[in-house]
Amino acid sequence: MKMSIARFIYARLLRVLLVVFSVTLSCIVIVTLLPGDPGELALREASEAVSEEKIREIRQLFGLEFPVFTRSLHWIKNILVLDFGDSYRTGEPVLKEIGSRLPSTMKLAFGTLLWVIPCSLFGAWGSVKSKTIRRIISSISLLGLVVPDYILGILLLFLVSFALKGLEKVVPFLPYLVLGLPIAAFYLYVTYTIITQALNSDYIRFAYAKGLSEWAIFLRHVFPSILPPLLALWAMSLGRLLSGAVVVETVFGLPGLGRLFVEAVFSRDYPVIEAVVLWSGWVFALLISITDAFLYYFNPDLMRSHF
Amino acid sequence: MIILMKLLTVEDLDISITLSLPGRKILNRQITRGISFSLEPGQILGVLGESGSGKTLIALTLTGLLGKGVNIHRGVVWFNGNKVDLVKSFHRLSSFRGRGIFLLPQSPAGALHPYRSIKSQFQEINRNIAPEALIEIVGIPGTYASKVPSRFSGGMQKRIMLAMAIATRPLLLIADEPTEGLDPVTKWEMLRVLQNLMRSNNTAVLFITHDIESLAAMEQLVGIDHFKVALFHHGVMDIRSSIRELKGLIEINHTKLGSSFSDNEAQTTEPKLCKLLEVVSIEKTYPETSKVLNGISFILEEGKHGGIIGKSGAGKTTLLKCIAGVEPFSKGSIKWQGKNFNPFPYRFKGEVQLLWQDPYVSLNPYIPAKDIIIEPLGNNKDAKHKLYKITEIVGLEEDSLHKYPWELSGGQCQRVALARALIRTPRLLLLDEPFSGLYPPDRHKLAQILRKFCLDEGITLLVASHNFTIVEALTDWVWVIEKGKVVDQGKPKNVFLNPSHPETTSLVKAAQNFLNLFG
Amino acid sequence: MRYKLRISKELFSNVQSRWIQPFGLLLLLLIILILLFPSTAIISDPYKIDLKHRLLPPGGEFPLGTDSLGRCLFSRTIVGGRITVTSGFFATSLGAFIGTVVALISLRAPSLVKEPLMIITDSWLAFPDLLLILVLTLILGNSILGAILSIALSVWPWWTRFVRNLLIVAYAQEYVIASRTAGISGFRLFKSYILPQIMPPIGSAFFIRSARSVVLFGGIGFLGLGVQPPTPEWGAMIKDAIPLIPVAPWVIVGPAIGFMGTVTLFQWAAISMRNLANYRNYSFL
Repeated sequence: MKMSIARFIYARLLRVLLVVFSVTLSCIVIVTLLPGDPGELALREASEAVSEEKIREIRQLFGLEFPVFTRSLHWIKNILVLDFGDSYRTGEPVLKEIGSRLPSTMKLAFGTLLWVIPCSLFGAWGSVKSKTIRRIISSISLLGLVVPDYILGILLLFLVSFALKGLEKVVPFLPYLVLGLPIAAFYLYVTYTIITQALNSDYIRFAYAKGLSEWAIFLRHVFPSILPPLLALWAMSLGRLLSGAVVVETVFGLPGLGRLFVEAVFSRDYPVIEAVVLWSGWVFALLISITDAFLYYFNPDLMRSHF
Repeated sequence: MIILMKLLTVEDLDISITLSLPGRKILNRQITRGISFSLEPGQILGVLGESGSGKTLIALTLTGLLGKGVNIHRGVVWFNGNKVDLVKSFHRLSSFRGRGIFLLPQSPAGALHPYRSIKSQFQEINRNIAPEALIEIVGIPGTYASKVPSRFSGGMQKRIMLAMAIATRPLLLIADEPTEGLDPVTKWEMLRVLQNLMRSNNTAVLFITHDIESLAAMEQLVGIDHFKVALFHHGVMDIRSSIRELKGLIEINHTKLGSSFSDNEAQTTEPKLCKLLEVVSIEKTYPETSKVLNGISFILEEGKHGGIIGKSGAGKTTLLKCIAGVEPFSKGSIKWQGKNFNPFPYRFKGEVQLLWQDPYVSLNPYIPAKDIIIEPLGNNKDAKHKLYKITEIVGLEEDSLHKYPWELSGGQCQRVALARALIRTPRLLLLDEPFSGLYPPDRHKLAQILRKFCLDEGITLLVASHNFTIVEALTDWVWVIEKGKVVDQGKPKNVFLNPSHPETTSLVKAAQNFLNLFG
Repeated sequence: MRYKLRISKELFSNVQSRWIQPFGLLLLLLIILILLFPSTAIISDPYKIDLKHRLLPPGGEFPLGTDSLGRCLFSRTIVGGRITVTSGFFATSLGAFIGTVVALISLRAPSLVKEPLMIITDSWLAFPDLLLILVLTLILGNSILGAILSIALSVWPWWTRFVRNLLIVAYAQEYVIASRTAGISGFRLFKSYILPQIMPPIGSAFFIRSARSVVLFGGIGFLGLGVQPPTPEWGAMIKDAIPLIPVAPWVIVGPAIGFMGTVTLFQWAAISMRNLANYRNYSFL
């Protein structure tokens, strides 16, 4: 598998484009599968009288009278000039709708992973080393697993606002906590297992023989070996989070992509739906390509892996 | 007062290991029976013993790195004035690691972190030293410091580890088979480096090995005052002050090169002119290092065993890997039985077997030895019978069969790997340092048995080794490789008695120097 | 001395007994569920409405009391558990299975198949959950089976990506390469060399995701979607029980303990995966 760097990047880019392409195309097709007519729904939303011809009028307005194939072509053409159309529901340009939600979503996504990843790594390392730490952390993560996020969110908000007054400072951090706790709980266990596996290698024993500190051993010897599966998991989590987290956004009243998307789906707001899916496609495709590349950078031996 | 002068004193060490066998049987094997020894600063104690005798366990005990299944019944260790009762406070030994005691493990590929650059692995130990300078001392170009260990040959990795040891300036260096698998020239260099360390830093060395030659060389280098040797046999240590005193106790092969085994010529097989393997101008470059194979060509005929000699790092292992189909080569071609054939990846499917240089990394740690050996046979009804036959040939004891590779000694692992390679009677068997982990007296026996087996079963051998006596015993034709090219070839006897190329000459001279120590 | 070698076919070699603990727990769980199939554990009919006995505290004929319609809470908890837990568990299992198979194919298939397959996988992965599940539910129907299938089909690409990375690392190990040169390939290679390496991470991920799946199903029931009454389901039972807390606090106990117990059991199973991973048992760690 000898590829020069240029060819490698070229292949990756091609792959990204293909993924994005297929995601959006399938989106357009799928969206038409959904029952319910956007025209009709738009009329209901605006509380106007619904009649056959009015529906057809609106459909013409939205350009829905064309067959799927033509619509796809239009869509692609428009995208290339960054014209995403207007939302059926609000009439605003889709770009603006999404753009206004992005900062909040990105803050939420990156902020959550910012604490989840180190916490799960060190928590897992601590759990491997000491039984007590493992027990403590297990109990906390049990909470994260058993309680669904909306209940947890509501519960915590309730507690902080009514029961434990004086903790108002905590409130801005709550969404990150609620969003991240189940993810952290999951990562904890998987990382724990993977670290245990990595510790059975010979070079770990030599690292101990060299008299290195536990810290050094973890950061420099254990960490690179456990990266491959974890990197994939983190990338996928980030992708998911960047596409919105509707529950947390709703509970905490944050303007995010998740809520926008849900509303769009329910009102069959095709342009918004398709644009969000496009965004999601790009995010995932890029994240996966980057993490794959990182994999081989950290562990060059993996390139010789043959099946 | 006497105890204070000594750096290390081990008193009454009693270790045993517990094996769990199928059928819920528990076997308890005594490793050491109350052994005692001591070391003064600047002194070297060579521990000589058969493979599997438990020498490595002593090393692991002193560094506090034992795993489950090893029981210490009694033992007290004094190190640098600190007393450690092994039964009660074993964990105290961990405080000496890296600060006073340094362990050089037997398996280099398993010891260095595969993906992190050498430089970073050095700097962990000691930020103030320049890794480039240190690895130059052991004979590796300083520019390699930024490379990754997995690209280096076994010999080079061993040297890197020795350089790391020097970096810590240890009071006690425990070296487990430090010269195993090195060519004679490199061996001398390493031993001199070791001697230098002992002299300049007053380091004491516990030299655990089965390589009598190295110990004899050390005796000559450090002088008899600083030298002690112990024969470790059946759990008991017999300490002497010179190798010469051991002459009666063990066989020492001190034949001259080029003089032995005329039965090679007596075995005139029918002239099989079948060209089994033809290697044409192979080139290969690893991306991180320089060109490893630089146009090697040779022809191997069926029935005539071939040997490959060369300094460590010359490309022997890479050549064997390319032939076996493990690594791709960039230029050139390989012909199998006359037809062009690219063995990469794994297209030989067992017809050509490769024995790895480092047996530990080539064996599956999840299954016991017996399963490893019979695996290539698939679901053969004959498996039991073949297993019995092969383990006899290879010289493996029964309880080794139930152990896992990490529970076996280096020599036993090599035998297991050999058994696995032989069990399917391949057409061509590629051996990379096959007997380096074995006790010298056993090597010769095994070489003879192997030769006979290959004759009976029609296996052709291609052996890459530093041990010239073995090469002589096993092969009919020898190629000498330097920096990825064939520079010399001929019948072993001729090559060793009358070397023509300077590379060959230096190798042969170094080897002869070792053998002369016993003369 | 020569020993007669006997290669016994005993199953209790070290490796195999290590596998017993995590899967033993799982087996325990499954046994509990299977025991429920013959309705011997159910004391009274979970569907029988008996308004004379509504909201009775635990005791006597009704070990956990009765709900607002006089139905036995104990039986309802058990039957509801069967539905909630098995749905969650099988949804994850199916998704994991499909994902692993695809991961294997994506590595061993010829390029012509590999590339499109990975592109499909990544596209599927990128599709937002909500839309995906919505569409799948439309196609597959609203029943329990439909729900299970929808979740499985929305989740498999995650498993593919995860398992694929594990496989890449597994196949790159030196001893795998060595054994392939020795002629071992295909299924044997997978079983003895790859599987022991990938099982611990996959196992722990699987158990935790199963736990979350169960909670997810409960969450759907809580919101009033999914399985409809009178079929018992833990999430729905909790929803009904919350307003009753001041009056009849025991109503919530059954499903609450059910959730906690199930998740804890899965958690144990996930942690016990380390016995599989820890084949060397270093004591100095």
